[in-house]
Amino acid sequence: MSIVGGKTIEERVKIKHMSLARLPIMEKLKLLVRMQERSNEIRRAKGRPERPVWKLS
Amino acid sequence: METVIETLEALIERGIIEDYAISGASGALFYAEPIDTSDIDVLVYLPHSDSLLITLAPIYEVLRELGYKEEEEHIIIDGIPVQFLPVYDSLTESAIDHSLNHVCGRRVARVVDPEHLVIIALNTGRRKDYLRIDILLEQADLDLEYLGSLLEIFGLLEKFNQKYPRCLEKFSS
Repeated sequence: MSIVGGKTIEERVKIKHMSLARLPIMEKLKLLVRMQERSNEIRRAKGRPERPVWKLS
Repeated sequence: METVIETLEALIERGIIEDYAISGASGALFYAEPIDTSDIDVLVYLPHSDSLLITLAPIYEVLRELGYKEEEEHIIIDGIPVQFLPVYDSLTESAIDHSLNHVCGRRVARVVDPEHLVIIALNTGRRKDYLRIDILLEQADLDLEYLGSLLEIFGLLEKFNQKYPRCLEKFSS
């Protein structure tokens, strides 16, 4: 088992996910838009149709 | 997102829908880490009608008037595909009735509570729905007693306990 900073990698990953879950909704929306942009990069590379990227007005 | 909420409020004001609640992955966003999704699922209560046919036509008509376009099963509101889902059973009805208000920018959105999100996902039962349940069980502040009682009411306790045997041990008898 790998231990970094007194915590296992699994514990650190869990903490990271929990910290994302506790972000304010507007920050989560920004992250979601980044995911959508990255997902479109992959779609472009594979020649698949792109999906809409949300506008955060 | 705020324009979507504003548009949903406008639909209520015009009497086109009676109430709404954001559901699915975009609903889960309010309680857990973001999951990649491309649309917003919105459960809607339509005004009572004597017709046996449930139609979303009045919603589409108004949104077309407002300049929004349809794309397959979605209406694109300010660049965001929105899918309107009329309540179709007692579970989705309960989901709207118990939805919560969440501040989103300068607006307040009605969002399905996390316990109902878990149950709707379990009822739908696709791979992505189970992924959402896993994330909600781990990250959302779920009221497990409430979740257990809802699962019992909607006849999904056994299915839940089969998938998540240790989660609700005290409700499994």
